[in-house]
Amino acid sequence: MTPRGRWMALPGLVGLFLGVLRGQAELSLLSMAVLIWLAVEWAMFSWRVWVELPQLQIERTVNGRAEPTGLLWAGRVVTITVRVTLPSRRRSDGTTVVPSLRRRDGLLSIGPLVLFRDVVPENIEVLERVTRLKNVPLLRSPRRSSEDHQPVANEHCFSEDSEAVAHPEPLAANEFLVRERSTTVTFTYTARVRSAGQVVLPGLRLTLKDAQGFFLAERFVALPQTFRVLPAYAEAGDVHPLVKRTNSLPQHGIHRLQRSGLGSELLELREYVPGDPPKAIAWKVSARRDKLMTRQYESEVPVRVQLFLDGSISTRLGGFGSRLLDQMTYVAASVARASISVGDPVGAMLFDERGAKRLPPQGGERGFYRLLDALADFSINPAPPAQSLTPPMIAAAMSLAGERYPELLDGRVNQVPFTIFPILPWNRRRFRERFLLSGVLAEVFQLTALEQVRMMHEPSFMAGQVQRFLTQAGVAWMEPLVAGHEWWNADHLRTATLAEALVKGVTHARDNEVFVILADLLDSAAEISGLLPAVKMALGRHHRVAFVCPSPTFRRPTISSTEPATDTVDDLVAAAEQLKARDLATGLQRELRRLGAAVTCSGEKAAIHMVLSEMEIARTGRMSPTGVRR
Amino acid sequence: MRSDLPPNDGARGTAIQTLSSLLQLTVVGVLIGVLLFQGTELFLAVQALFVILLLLLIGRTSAAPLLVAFQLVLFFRETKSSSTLLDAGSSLFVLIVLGLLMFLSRDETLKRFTRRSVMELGRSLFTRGNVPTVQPVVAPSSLLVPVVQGAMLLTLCVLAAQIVLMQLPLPGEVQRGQPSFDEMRQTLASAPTLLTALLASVLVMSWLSWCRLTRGQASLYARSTLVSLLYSDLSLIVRHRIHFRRRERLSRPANIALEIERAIASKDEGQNDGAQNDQGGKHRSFRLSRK
Repeated sequence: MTPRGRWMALPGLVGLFLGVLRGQAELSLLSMAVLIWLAVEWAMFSWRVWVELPQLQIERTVNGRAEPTGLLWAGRVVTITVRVTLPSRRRSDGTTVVPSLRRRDGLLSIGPLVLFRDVVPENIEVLERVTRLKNVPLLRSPRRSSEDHQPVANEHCFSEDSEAVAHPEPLAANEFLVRERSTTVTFTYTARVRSAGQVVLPGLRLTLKDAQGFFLAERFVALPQTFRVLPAYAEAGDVHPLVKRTNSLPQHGIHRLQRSGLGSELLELREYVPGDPPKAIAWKVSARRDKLMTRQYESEVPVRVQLFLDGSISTRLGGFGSRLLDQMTYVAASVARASISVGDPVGAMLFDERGAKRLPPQGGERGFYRLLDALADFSINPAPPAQSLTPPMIAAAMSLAGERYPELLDGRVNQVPFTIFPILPWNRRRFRERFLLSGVLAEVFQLTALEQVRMMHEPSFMAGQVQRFLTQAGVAWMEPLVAGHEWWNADHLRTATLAEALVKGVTHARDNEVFVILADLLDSAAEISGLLPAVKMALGRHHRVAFVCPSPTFRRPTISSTEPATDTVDDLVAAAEQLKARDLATGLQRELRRLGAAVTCSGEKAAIHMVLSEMEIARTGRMSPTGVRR
Repeated sequence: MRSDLPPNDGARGTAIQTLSSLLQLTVVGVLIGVLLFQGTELFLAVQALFVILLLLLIGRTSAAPLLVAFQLVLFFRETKSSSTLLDAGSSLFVLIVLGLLMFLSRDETLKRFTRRSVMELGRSLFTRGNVPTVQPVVAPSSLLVPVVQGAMLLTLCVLAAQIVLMQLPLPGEVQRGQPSFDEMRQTLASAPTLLTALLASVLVMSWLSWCRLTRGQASLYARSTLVSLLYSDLSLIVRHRIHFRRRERLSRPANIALEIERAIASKDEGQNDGAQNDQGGKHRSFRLSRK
C-alpha cells in the first residue's frame, strides 16, 4: 500500500470508530464504504499481482537475436526490442489459441498502468525510442477477427509521435507505460555500448499500480542475456601513414628489411670475405675494380607486433568508455587491425597486478579475433581492491538491491530482529537498512546465517560483499565502489611488472619486432628508471619500442590544449588536468626519447598514427622516418 | 523507481484545453462546496476560499483531505444516535462523496494545475500553444466504460457498508441505554462464528501468501526468521570471533618485539664471534622473519 492508500485508510478507520461510538449513521456509512472500497481495490490489485504478472511472457531481442549469449562491439549502436505477451498454446494445425481465461476480456490482460523498464547496466547508454508505427493502437487484427473463437488482439506498439501526444512525460527510451488493457506490448529502443568487456542485460522491472494509486507492486523479471563486447577499432584505411612503400611487391606479410639477409633485392656491394658463397660474387664489378666484390641482399622478414597492455587499477578507474583502459584497447585493436591487414602477426602481453598473460603472435582474421576476445576479457573489471565501508556504498547497494531485488526488500519477507540497541532513531534506521541489505546479499551469494550476522558486526566483511554485489551488477570503478588513493598509485609495482613483461617479450621475440607499450606511465615518470634497462635491451636487439600513455582527458597534452575553452568549472578542471598531464609527459618523453623509443601521450588517433609509422619504419629497416640507415 | 506514474500532460499549452480543465475543476469545486456547506449560513466568498484551499491541498497531497473534511462536517453536523442507515439521501450523499474521492484520486488535472505557477497558467490561457496535430485514437465508449465501472463499484461498496453496519447493534440500541441480555443474544451468538471465520480467513490468506512467494523470497523468509530468532546468539559468536582476531592482531607486535630482541641478542653474539674469529671482517647480515 502506498502512502496515498494509507492516508485514505487512516481517516476511514478513525471515522468508523468515532461514527460507531457516537452512533452517527452517515459518518459510519461513509467511513465503512471507504474501507470497503479500499478492500475491493486491494482484492482486484492482488488478482493482478498474483495471477496476471506471473503469466506474462517476456522476450528481449538484441539486434534481432534472442539468444542468452552473444557478441557486441563497443561504440556501436544496438537495437533492443522487448515484447511482452500473454501465454498461448498452439493447436495441432498450427493456429494459436488463447486460454479460456483470457477469452473473457478483462480477466487476464497486460495493464493498465504497468510500467515496464528494461534494466540496462552502466556499460550501455540508452539512446532513443525507435519509431515503428505512426498511429497508436492496432485495435483489431483482421486475420484473427475472422475466427469467431479467438479474441481481438489488442496490441499496443506506440510510436514516438503518438507517445509524444499521449504521454509526453519524460519516460526514458527503455521504459514503456501501458495505460490500457492489452494482450501484447512491444517497444524498441536503441542503445550504445560504451566500452569493451562484458555486458549483462539482467531483466525487466515491472511497476504495477491501481487506478487511484493506493497500491503499488514492483517486480523484477530476470531475463539475463550476456554479451562479450569486443573493442572498437579504427579501420586501417583511416589511420595508415603516408609513407612511400617499396617498389617491389614481396609476399603478403613479408617486408623488405634494409639489413643483410637472404632476400631477392640488392642491398649493397662489399668486398669479398672468405666464406661468402661464390654465386654471390658480382663478377662484373669485381673485374672493374680488380678485386672480388660480393653482392649483399636485403633481408625479407615478417614484422611482428607485440602489444603490451597495462590493466592495473589506475587504468580501470572511471566510467565505462572513459577509462584509460578503454583508450588503450581502442589503440591496441586499431594497431592490430592495421598490422593484420598487411599480413603482420600480432601478439599481446596483458599485465596487471594479478600477473601477465601472453598471447603469441598470430596473423589473419582468426588471430585478430582471438586478440579482440582476449582484449574484451581483459577489459572486464575484476573484483576491486578492498575498501572500507562507507554510507554512500551502502546507499548504492541499497539502490541496486531495490532495482534488482525489490521483492527481497519487503519487510514481511526480510525480517529485521528486534533489538534494544541502537536506541537513537536515526541509528535504528541505519541498522534496519543494513540488516535488510545483509539479508539480500546473504540470499544472493548464498551465505550462511553466521556470515549474515558477521556483516552486521564487521564493516570490512560487509564492504567486501557490497563491492562484489556492485561489481557483478556491472557498476563502474568509481565512487562509492572504490575510494582512496593509496593503492592505485603503486607506480613502482607497475614499472616493475612492465619491465618484467618487456623482458619476457624480448626473450620470446625473434628478429625485427615492434613493441607497443600501452601503459599509464604519466604518473610513473619518477619511477621510470626501473623500466629503462628493459627498454635498452629491446632497442639493443634491433626491435622498435613505442610507448602510448593515455591522458585522462583523451587529448594530447599540448600547449594549446591546456587553455580552458570557457570559465566553467568543468573546463577549468579539464585544463588543470591537461596542464598536469603536459608537465608529466614532458619528463617522461625526455627520458624515453633519449633512449630512442617513440612516445605519445594520448589515446586518440594520433597514437595509432605514431605506432603505424614505427611499424612502417620497422618494415623498411630504417632508423627514422627520414631514412637514416642503421 | 518512481513511486508515481507520470501524469497525463498532453493538453499543456492549449488555451481550450486549459479552459476545459478549469471548467471541470470548477464543477468539482462547486459540488464539493454544495455538499460541504449545505445548511450553513457562511458567506459565499468564505465558502469559495475554503473550497479553493481544499482543492490546492488535494492537488499537493492526495484526496484524503477531502475525506477528512467530509468526515469532520458529518461529525459536527450529524446528531448522535441518528436515524437508520437505509436512508436513500444518506446513501446518495456517501455515493457522491466516494465518487469525488475516486475522481480526484484518478484524475491528474488538479495535480497538474497546482504544480504550475499562476503566470504559467495565465500564459497557457492566452497563447495558442502547440495544438497536437495527431490526436490519440480514443474510442468514445472507452471514456464511458471506466465511469460506469467506477459507479457500479462504489454503489456496491455503499451497499456492502450498509449491510455490514446493519449487522452491528449500533447506533440505535446501545445509545438508548443498557441493552438487555436477550436483546444482545443474537449479536453475541454470532461472535464465535465471526471469530472462527476470521481465523479461517487469516489462515487461508497466510497460506495463499506463502504459496505466492517466489523461491528467493521463501528462502529469504526462512533465513531471516532463523536469524531473527538466533540473532543474539549469533551476534555473540561473531563478536567473540572479532574480539579474538583483534587480540591476536594486537599481540603480534609483542611477538615481533620479542623476535627483535632475540635477533639483537644473536647479532651481538655474532659480532662477538666475528670479532673473535674473523678480525676486521664484515658483520654478517641477518633477516628478521615475521611469523
